[in-house]
Amino acid sequence: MSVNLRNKVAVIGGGLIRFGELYDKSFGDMMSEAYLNCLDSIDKGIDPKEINAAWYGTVRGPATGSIAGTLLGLGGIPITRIENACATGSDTFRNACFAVAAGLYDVALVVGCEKMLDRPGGLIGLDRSGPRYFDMFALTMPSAFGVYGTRHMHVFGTERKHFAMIAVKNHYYGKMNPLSHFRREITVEQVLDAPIISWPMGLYDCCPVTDGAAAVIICREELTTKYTDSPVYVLGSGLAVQPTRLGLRNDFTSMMPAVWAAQQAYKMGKVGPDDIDFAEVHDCFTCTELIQYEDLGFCKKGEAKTFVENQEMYIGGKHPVNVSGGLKSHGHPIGTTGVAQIVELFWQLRNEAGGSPKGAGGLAVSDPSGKRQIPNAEIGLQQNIGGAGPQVSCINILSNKKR
Amino acid sequence: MATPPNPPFWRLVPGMHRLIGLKCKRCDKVNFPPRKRMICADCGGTEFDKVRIGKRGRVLTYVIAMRMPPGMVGPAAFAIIDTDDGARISAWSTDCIPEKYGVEEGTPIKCDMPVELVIRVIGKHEPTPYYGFKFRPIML
Repeated sequence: MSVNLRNKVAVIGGGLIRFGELYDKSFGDMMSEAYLNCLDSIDKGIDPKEINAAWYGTVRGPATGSIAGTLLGLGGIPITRIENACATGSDTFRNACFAVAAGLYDVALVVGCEKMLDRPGGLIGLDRSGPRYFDMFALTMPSAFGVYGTRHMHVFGTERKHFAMIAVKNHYYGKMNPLSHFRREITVEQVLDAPIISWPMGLYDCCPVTDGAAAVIICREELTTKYTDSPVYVLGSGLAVQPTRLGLRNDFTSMMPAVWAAQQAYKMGKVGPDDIDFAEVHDCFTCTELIQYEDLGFCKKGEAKTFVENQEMYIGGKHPVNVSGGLKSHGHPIGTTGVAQIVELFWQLRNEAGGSPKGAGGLAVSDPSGKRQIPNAEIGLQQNIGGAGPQVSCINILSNKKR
Repeated sequence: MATPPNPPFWRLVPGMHRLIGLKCKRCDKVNFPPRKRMICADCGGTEFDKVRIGKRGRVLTYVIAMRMPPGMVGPAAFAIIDTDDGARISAWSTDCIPEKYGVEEGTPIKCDMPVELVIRVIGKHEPTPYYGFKFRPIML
């Protein structure tokens, strides 16, 4: 590659709203709130007229960039709508970074918004869309991801309890986060006793159906001092896909799009898995997060169960993962999730995740203990993966220092 | 779907009743289901041999879905199956009780177990039922 993204783009603001079953807020209400929170979060202030372009990510929300223009009062500037299944949020951010790194725009807005609860049943209806071949008909998300869990159990001796420990961890941290969808702790026994959805995935192995919105503002790195003294730099980005049809895939103990996207992001950022201080990983299902520990290089292939038993994914362990609560507890409004993970990285890397950063609209993002803040975090990674199972994955790596 | 809901329409679909795959001439991968303008999912090749995928194989991995949509009977197992002749497809289960799940001995569905594909009703394109393949443990 003749141009690298590394160090060229910085995140200067992040805004988030409380996630959950937001029946009292419309799609537009959520998006506006996240955007206004994001404007507030810019340390030295910003005039919306300084935003040169915007990228709008949503999977099932209204199409066209002009929706974001209408709802956010951003007329006359280029706004592109991005969709890439569960990788939408990260991919929306990635595309904005390309344009800013190339020098085409100085300041860009990234916004993600998803109103999942307007359609009762979440994503269930998708199982009967598309060509009606016998192989994928009626395939739900828990099934499309669960097959990876089963094969991993068969080859490496992983057990349902290892998956359960991940759900427990995400609820443990989600309880500390006032923005989370779910705010209660659960136990391994509760996870194992819960009704089975698609064995090996039970009710508490699956993330909830959530409404939410998030927004981030980026700028070229030469311009950061106008807006903040603590920007967060983009080191690397990666994106990869594999076939929709499960029968065309080659590997069922790894989620290959994540492996490939991680290789790209590490290479671009000139960092490796050992440099990653913490990560926000796409735990749409517990088996997804477990396999990501291996795919992202946090532990060797097959050793995720040991990594989990040793609690290496808690603060204090080798690679804290999902201390926001993850998708399981914080929630998963599909197109928003990637952008919300960027906001979490932004707060953690500026040491703000233990208190009330301005982008949270007056809410604290941690309980009074402040234990959710990762000490001395310098490099964070966020990852989305989704589609018909792990079909597309997008990863971005951020740091509070230029490297 | 804006297509005639009659039996010949479905019988003629090569990826349904006829289990026809397209074997890539360059890399040998069997691409299924076939399309008129197929491009190999692994190598991008555009030349294929038509192959009839065999009906015996082993379960690579599976899940047990506890509830199925209207018109299908649940619980059912969904499996990725490697056929004895080197193709890989996925299918739902039939003729067994999948909810006795687990990786312990004696459960009907396990990774690596031998299975066979049998023709079953998949759904209805009102008013026409259409058929495809489901898998069942090989009865010996």
